[in-house]
Amino acid sequence: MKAKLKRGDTVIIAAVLLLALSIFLIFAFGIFSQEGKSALLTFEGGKKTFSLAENTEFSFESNGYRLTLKTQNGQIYIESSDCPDKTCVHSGRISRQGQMIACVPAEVTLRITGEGGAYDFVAG
Amino acid sequence: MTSLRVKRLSLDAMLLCVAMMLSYLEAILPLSFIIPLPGAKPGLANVAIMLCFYKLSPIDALFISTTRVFLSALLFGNISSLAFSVSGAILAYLGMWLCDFLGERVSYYGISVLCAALHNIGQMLAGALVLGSFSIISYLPLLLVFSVIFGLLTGTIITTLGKLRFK
Repeated sequence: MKAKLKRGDTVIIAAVLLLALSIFLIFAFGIFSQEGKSALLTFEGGKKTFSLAENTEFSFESNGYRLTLKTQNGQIYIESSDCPDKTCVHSGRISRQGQMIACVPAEVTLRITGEGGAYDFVAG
Repeated sequence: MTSLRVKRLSLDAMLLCVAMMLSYLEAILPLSFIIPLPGAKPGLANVAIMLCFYKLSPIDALFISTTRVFLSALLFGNISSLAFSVSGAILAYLGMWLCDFLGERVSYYGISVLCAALHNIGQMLAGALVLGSFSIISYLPLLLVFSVIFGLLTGTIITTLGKLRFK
């Protein structure tokens, strides 16, 4: 009788979870999302939107740290920061919708705006 | 034998009713309060279809599954939910069929997890086609994790009910 959990079941469950993980990773790296047109910066001083079409440089202060961001060739990145961990600088360049850079000590987030993340509708 | 055909027809009709009732139960249960995820459902109707597949025959299960999809779209859904359900149901049916070949190597637990996962994959593929965008698939990993949990739940129900005599 088919009663206990068998090896085949374990293989199926592992395969499903592995598939879930790989799809998640694919989306975490933004392979299917489209190139964004603008980026939204939130910092202590408020919010600011940058167009990715033009090359700009912007320096600002947030939570006692000084950061510089740059847009270049449709990509945006944090060029320098005097925060201790520099995760935001190491996050590199982002350009696809939904991608984001965060600097926790300075309380700064930089996000490419556009669709993504929200559910379009629900299947019955 | 006429009496056997009548018995089979009655059993099919009864299992279809059970599947419909379970679909309805899922539609009215306030599940979104417990799990705040749209689309995450236990897939209870699959219990009836899987029991039919393994206890009666794959043909009966195909009949019940198709009829259930169309009837529940007619009663509780709309055209787009029909497209999602059809593709989900087809993939889940293929999953059952595949597991039939694996025989004793898999139990009802594995089969129902596989069917739940395939159902979600089918729905998401239909959704991506309807929307013309892959962004909806980013929601699939969460649904797959839930299909493992709910698949084990329905697997338990099927294992318990599977001890009953059907024919």
